[in-house]
Amino acid sequence: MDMNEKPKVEEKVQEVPEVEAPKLPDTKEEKLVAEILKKAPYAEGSVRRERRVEFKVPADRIKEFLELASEKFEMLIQISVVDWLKEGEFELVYQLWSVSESVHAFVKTRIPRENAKMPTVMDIWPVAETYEREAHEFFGIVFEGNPRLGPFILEPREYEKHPLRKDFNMIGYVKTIYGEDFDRYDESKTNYVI
Amino acid sequence: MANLEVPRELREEAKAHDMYLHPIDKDTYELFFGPQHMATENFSIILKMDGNRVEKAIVNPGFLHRGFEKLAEQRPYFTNIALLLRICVPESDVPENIYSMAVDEIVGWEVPERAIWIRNVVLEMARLSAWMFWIMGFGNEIGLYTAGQWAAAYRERFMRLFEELTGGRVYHIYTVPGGVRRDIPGDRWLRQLRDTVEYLKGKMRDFDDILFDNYIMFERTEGVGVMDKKFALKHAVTGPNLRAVGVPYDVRKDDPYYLYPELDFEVPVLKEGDSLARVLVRRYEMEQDLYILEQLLDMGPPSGPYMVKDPKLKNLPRFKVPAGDAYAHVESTKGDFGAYVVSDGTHKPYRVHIRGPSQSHGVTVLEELLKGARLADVPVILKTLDNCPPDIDR
Amino acid sequence: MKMESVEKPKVRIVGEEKVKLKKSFVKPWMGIKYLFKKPVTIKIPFEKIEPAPKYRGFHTLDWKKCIGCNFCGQICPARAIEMTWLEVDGKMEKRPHPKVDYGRCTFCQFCVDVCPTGALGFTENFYLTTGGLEEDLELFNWVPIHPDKVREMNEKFGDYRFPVVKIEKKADGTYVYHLRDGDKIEFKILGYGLRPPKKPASAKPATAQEKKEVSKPAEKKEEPRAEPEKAAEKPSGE
Repeated sequence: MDMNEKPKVEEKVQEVPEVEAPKLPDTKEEKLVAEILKKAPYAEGSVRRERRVEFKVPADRIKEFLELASEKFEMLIQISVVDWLKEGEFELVYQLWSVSESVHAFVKTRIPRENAKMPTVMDIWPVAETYEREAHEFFGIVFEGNPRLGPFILEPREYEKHPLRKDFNMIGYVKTIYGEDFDRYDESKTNYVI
Repeated sequence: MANLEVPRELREEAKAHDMYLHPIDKDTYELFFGPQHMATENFSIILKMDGNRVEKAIVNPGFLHRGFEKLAEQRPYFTNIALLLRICVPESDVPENIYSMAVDEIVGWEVPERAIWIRNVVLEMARLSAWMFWIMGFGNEIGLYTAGQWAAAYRERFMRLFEELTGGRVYHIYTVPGGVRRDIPGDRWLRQLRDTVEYLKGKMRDFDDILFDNYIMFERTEGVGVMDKKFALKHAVTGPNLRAVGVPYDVRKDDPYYLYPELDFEVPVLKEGDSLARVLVRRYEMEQDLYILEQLLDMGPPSGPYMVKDPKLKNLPRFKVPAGDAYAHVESTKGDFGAYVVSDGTHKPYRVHIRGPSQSHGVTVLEELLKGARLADVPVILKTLDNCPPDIDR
Repeated sequence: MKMESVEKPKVRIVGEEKVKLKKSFVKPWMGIKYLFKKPVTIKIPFEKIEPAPKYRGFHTLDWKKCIGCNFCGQICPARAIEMTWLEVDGKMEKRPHPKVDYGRCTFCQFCVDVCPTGALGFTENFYLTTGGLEEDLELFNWVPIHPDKVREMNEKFGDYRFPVVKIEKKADGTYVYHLRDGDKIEFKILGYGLRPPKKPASAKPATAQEKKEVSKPAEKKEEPRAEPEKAAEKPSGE
């Protein structure tokens, strides 16, 4: 939302070959992608298969893009977060469904793991409140503007542990909660497993 | 679990002093609804009541959180079937199928036709037994216990059929990536299934008599929990609840999977958006499911293998899936049930994210619909939304 | 999938003219006719239902066929299977055998599916109740017994109960399975895990050395499989 002009120009320069590359849109998915990319040249779009399209959007333009996409994609089905530990990034996948066009869209964006922050999309889809609460609880991403971030599914003592992160010490946590005798080792008797 | 309006320190203090139920005002009070209440199944709602009216509702899920998404990251692909199906208890074939469909798509398997047919039959049987489960709950909530008891008896027939097909009654652990685990036990089973469909067709009229035509049902549901089309789309309402506000969106029609493109069925749509419309849409779909099963039985199972042939499947625990991601969804009785599976090329999924319909029906939608409702209508709204809290918790 | 071949789904959208019902004051009373019908419930002590054939119940294990490959332990979603080194009649089994913990088992029978030799199987037996004593609870953690033995007992009793009534645990690690028909299965548990135990039996050094030699090929075969296993477990484990 609060983007300045500079990145826009940069993106456009980058995206010029991208805009030229797609061939004549003939299927409804390709038409849809072309239509959205025309309005949002900063994004990358592709058709994955029938009724599945994919967009890659830089994190600072995500709100703008989703607002644009919400005209075509009426429903926000889910916000999936994938923790790419090696890259040090969270991947947010906004799963959108278009009731009018019958197309599912993945809108992917990546943000750094440290102090992960995203703008909320509650004002576009109020249901995002739930998804963002869940993502906040399990991954620790702060969605700015969502008033209800806090303990949701987990118990308060588990809050701020962010268990679905890949570096969450699950075995250590289980040991502290259930004690040492509630155990099972893997077949080589070296690693403790859940 | 729930984020009350009270600051956290105060909450903890209140918890320490066991002061959960405290009057806020003279006429307003807080009521903890569930998790023991039958209508809520496995979650609770904190109702701020003004006399008999609900002023505000705060959903408090988390009683059934088992961390399946985390556990699935630590287990081989096939093993996860035995875990993920527990996400949806009355309709356990749905998580099996969406996960299998997503993995099939990542691997790029052509699932054999016979397996597709069996999966489709299993999904429809699961839908019917879930409808029976729903009648059980709904009938009990509005005080028509007889319908619920009949439904429980008819559900037993499907459980018996499942037992013979899959070896399990409630948790079938049957659909796996690449096909199904067992072949159909024989023509006798198909005959039994046809008999059951015929039997239930006759019983639908009895259900109509005692439940769906009943004036008590009309009195309890008409004009209760109304939502409009715009609200429903913004809140990602799916399934029968969405069709009851006038949007003809059915995954089986709009994103067809398995044999649904070849099947002939009707999608009921009503405009009112109240509890009554949701009930009537569900009743019509129940009938349609019987017709769909009949058509599938008329088609007959195609011959061929029931599991994909792949040399990599020799070493099942170390079966590697190429890197990639896929989203698959099916139409369950509750709505659009989806799974997002990410693979990084190893023998364990990198991330499995299950999208249950109750994530929207059970939290924001419910909180909005309960505003201004009478206390006696709370179970009716809960049951007509067909809320399944394990979806939220996972 | 073949959905691409079909152009248009034959799905019709129907509106309120078909879906809507009329409320009725009379129809609910039609349910009374069920008062004169036969109830669907089963009168339990007098009637009983059989589990379906191939109902997923307790495991069986052919100890001769089991090669100790640990596929079952790897696929188990609940980590209920532990490989166990046994000594039967003073001779150590060449390969470890799975020990199933029914406190954890989910009865998915993936272990049976992956068994490469067909040693692990399952029966329709599903009935196991015990008291709460520690020695009663031993029943829930067993090395499955031969399928023929279970089938024999099923024919004799026919009530699908657990084939063992008591598991007696002696101080030196000897386990005695008291079967329902009075038979006994006696063996000794030497250790757990993929690798054979270091000291199979301290009391009998002479036989122990022989056993060690026997178990060496097994050890060598297992070693390379165990190593990638460890490497794969580490990142996800912690």
